[in-house]
Amino acid sequence: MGVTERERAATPLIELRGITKDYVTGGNRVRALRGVDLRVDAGEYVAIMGPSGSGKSTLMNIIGCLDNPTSGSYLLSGRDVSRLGESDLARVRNREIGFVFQSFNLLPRASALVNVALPLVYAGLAARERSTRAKQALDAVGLAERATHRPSELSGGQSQRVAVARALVTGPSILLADEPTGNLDSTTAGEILELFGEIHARGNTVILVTHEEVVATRANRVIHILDGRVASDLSR
Amino acid sequence: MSLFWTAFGELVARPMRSALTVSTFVISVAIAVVLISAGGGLEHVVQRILRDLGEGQVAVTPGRTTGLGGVRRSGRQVRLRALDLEGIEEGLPSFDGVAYYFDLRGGGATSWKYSIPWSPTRAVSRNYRRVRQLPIVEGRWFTPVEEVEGHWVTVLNEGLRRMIFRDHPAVGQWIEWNGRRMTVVGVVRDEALFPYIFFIPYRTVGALADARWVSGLIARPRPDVEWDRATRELRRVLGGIGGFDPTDTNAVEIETNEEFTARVRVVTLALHALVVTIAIVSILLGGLGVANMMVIGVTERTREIGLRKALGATRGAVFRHFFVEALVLLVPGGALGVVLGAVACRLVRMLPVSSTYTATVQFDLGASLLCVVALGGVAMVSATLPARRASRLAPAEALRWE
Repeated sequence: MGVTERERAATPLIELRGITKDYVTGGNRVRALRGVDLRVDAGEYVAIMGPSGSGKSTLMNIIGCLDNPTSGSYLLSGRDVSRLGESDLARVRNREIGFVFQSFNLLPRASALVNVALPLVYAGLAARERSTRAKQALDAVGLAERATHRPSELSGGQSQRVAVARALVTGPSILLADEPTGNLDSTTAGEILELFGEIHARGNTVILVTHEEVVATRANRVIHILDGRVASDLSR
Repeated sequence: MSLFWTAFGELVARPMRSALTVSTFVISVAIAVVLISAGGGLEHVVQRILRDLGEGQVAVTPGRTTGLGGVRRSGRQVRLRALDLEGIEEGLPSFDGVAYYFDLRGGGATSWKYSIPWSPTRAVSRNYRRVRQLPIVEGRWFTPVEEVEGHWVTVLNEGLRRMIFRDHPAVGQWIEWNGRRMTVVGVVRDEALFPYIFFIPYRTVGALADARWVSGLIARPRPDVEWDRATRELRRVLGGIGGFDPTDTNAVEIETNEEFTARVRVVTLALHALVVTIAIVSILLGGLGVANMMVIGVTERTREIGLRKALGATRGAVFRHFFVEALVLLVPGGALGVVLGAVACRLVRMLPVSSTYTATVQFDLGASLLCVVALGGVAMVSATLPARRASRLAPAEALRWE
């Protein structure tokens, strides 16, 4: 039993080995990732930085099981996700990873509460339970009183808070954020980053993609991606 | 149930698109329902007209025998006595019935209020209505007593009834014809002979004219008997009664409308095919319209599908979502289309143009449901195919979709 505990402790949360990703656009093959090796342990706060086209968003998509690598292996909690079927991948995305996107990606015609409850629909929870947990998640990001508002009735910062609440509502261990402050003013961006800090402080693993130095400084570890490769990996 | 309300909410959230899609679906179904009902009605109408025109009957008119030199002019007039024709059916196994009549022309019928300048009368044998299969629309046919005793009673055709009684009741009233007053006992549907005609018992006509010799006969061959065999049999029997050579085709003229009715049937079939084709084209065009809206509606939500997958939706969940959304749109739409079609059929029947035709535009539930299934099938495929395609994309790819 003790050995198992030690093994578990030694197993990284995320382990990428020789990940490559090719895109075919206009008949040309473009290699976005050129053999990325990466290991992220549970509870880390990682910022992935790089210029446009460096492959940082592609890397985040692969970490979030939103895309498949062309080659290489990806172990999530020791499990090779490249061998998982479509349903298992959906379960991983639903239960283990929460996503926050630069453009919020909220359903425009649904209320904040419905947006937050959406992952719980796919988790198979009953309507009453979904509503309760979605309200709690909105409360946790300070938007309980905005539950019935649609995205068009919310500010950018509020929309991103709704997105964060949606990402956390299923209690995932990993929070993945792709340029989460890209569409926000500096004050609101600061508030969102504070929120990320709090989430990290609660024991979650936070991985965010950014090209802003000021955002990356919040993380404990900064990985620079350049031309599809890890150019530097610095921990504080 | 949750999926239903989610789908319902999505549709309500896009009121204009949902309304346009449902409207296209409803109108297409309704048009197809009306056209198919009208096509079916057309056949009923033609069947009715053909029956009224005497389909399945032969008309026999006495002619002249072929005389010297093979010409009719030198032959003699054939006369068939009414008395000799009584019970003639027994010697004609190829026929279901043979009736005789005597036509009397000149003068018009008059009621207590309206009159018509010219309307012939036909004195008919007891079995005349049965042989001609005339439907009674009001009152009754002659009773045996009226026929045997030659009562002054009459049965009008619908045309005459409309002309001289208009909206007033006819049965029980009297009409006058050449100074003779007779009681109306019934009205029949008969548009084959004259627009305005009335019938009286054969015995009654004796008071008006010398009706010992009949004007003609109406015979109904059995459907399973060959035409040539039936006419040979008829000529043989009539030759015995009228004293002429049965092989002399000039002696009696035997007319049938088989060829005419066959042509009418071909034209009807062509018309019905045309109406059904228009209905199918309407379904196809409606289907294309609905399909277009569905495809655009679902395809433009590819990003949303990507988002749903990113949040944990499986392909099956995405498919079910759009399937239920299409069902929520199409099931009430189909029902509404069928109801609208039924109402339109009813309205067409109420049009004051042609009672013969509009009365037979009957709502056809089976064909209507078939329209809904055909159109709904097209719409369902249009909604679920792009959803299925989008659900097969990697979430990242669907999220990048423009």
